[in-house]
Amino acid sequence: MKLLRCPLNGLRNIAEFLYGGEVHPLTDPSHHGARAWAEQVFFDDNAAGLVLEWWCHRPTSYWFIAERNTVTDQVLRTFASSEYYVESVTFKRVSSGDPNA
Amino acid sequence: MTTTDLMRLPQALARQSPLHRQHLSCRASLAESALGLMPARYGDLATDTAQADQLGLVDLCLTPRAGFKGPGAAHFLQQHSVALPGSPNRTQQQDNGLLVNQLSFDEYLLLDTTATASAMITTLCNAWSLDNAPDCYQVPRQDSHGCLAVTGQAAWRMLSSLISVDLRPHRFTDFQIAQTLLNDLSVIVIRCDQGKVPNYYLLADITSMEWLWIVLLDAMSDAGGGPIGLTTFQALQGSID
Amino acid sequence: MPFGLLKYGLRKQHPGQHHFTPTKPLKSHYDVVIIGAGGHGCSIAYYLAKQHGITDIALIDKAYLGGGNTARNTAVIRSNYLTESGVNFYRDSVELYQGLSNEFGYNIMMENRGQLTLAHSDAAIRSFRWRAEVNQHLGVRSELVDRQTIRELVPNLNLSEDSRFPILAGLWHADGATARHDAVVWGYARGACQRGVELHQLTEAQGIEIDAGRVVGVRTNRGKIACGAVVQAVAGASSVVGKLAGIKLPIHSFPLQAMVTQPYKPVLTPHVSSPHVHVYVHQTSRGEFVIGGGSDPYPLYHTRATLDQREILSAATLELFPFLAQAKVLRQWAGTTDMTPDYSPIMGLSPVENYYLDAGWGTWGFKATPISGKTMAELVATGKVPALIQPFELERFYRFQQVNEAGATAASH
Repeated sequence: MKLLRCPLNGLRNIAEFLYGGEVHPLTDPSHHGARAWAEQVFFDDNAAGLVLEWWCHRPTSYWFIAERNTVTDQVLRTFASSEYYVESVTFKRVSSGDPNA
Repeated sequence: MTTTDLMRLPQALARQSPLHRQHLSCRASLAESALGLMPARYGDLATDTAQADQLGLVDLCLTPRAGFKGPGAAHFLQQHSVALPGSPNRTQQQDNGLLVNQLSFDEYLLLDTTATASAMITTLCNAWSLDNAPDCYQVPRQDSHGCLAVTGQAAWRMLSSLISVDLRPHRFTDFQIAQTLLNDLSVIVIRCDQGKVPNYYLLADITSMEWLWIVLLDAMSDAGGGPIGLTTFQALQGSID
Repeated sequence: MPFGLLKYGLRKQHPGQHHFTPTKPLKSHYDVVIIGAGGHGCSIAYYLAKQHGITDIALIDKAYLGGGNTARNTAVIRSNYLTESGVNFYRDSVELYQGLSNEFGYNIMMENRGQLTLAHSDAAIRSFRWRAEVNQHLGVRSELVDRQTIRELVPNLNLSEDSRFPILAGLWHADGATARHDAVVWGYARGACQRGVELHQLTEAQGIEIDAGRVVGVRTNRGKIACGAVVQAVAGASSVVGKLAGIKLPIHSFPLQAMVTQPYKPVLTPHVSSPHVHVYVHQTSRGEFVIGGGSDPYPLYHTRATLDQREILSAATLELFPFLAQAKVLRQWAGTTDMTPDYSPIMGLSPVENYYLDAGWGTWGFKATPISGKTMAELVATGKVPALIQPFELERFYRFQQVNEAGATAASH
């Protein structure tokens, strides 16, 4: 049975967690067209090796970040997302413009 | 249901627990209180108390509870003289018996299972508003969650057969909280002994209460466990001193 | 029966045959380099050589012939998909499979056992009716069947109404089949090698050389190969190899696990699949029950087997076939699957000129082995994308025109 250490709840059975995808920079909606959106939605790095990814502890809905090796399935560390996102991410609102540009 | 029942307005009817059907089928002695219609006892007080000490299951669905979360939650509660546990997954019992459970860095669950049912939860809920409690939000715990308690010397062993968290008494000590899964159902387990009797509160989604009740009774049957009434449970609290 | 087989049967002696030519030194140039000597890579090489006369091909693999997902899949052949693009594509593949043993002069042990998919809910019945209509319209044998018919097709299936998820109806696919997966890749590789294709095992692609947007060579652990075209057919590692050419793909790699029991006498003829309880089961010609359908819940490039999946697969299997309760599990294994957002493959052109993609084979790659080889070979030889695989091009994700086969895929994700 694989165990994962939740920064809030400690070492738990992997069944208590939900994989939430790769951590990558958010696409600024005002500066990109349809192709960039397609990449944001569908395309991923899917790297073989060390990756940063989102995980959620289901019973507490607590989201955190794990550094994991996707070849050996070893989790190097888990930490609160506030360690990674030190500043809040905000985008300027743009009202006009061609979304398909 | 009699004709007279049908003619009564819904608000005139006593509140019932989601486990009402189960209580009827187990021949509980029901008693109406301000909370609603609850099983007072299953056997006589002596049998029920012995059951509680060995391995008992209590329905606490109608007892008051509330939640507050957000970066301003701690400040709001402290303003109202609530003593906080200080770290996540810990519980702080107030002088009046109210339990303040810290579920996360900024989330609190308030639970009151005492017979006296202090007005504190109602007071806090009434005092709260977006304006006077900045960055603090109410979580509607009363209707989202149901609450049970598993009591007795055999409780941790029985719960360990269903939950994959180390519940051995020296590892999972009094006033500790575990938020985990019980057969894929999210549950909050709070250890809060009643006098000398070990006790574990179990909170889970209210729609799964009947399933959880049946599963727990089934898991208890090997160790001679069974349901006990609210009066019996609260009598244990009386023996705290 | 082919004449050659009759002649072979009448012979007094049946000496073993050499399947493949011995490995030659790697040349410095080939017309085409195919990365990945699995079912798909060998099939592409075979049709390039046989139908288009292109034989100056290096078929390279970092490990050995057919040792990846070709060896790990559960050998299900079917075409009862939902979209017109999907059904047409897989139907042509099933048809090619029917003639393969004769074409190769080599037994791939194709058996038309039929496939039964089970519905445990009204919603599943509605989707089965939809699939049956689409299938019949496109010439694929699919029909909605009731519990009585299911009982006749699979007498030992648990049809109790007291089970957790009672079986309500089924989708019967008479064209469903199975074949010996290793024999398929060996047959293709042998046919390709006989026509001059060079198979280079233990030859890993470590870099792709691109000049002015056009592929010009492949760097390997055995030296550099200059070439006119490259096909990547490395399902399971598509993102990793794609990255060598600077191509980002909409793929996530998940291990798909399966297991096999000890052998029993033949008691189960069709392939039985339940998308609801997340398992599919069939009995091989050797008598073993092959049980598959469980993916790990997070991406991984590792083919270890887990106890979690064994428990999940066993529980689901016993729901359908309680008589297997005492069966011993002989092996459990995993293969890395290229999961795409729409559960359809990614085939055809890539952003790099003359670099072709045969990727995104998720859990549906084995059944497509013949047709993907045939269509990819046509693309490489003519430069034109065959109509059959146009819907599967990488560009579809940029146009938001996905080919949704998520519901018609047997494995659970």
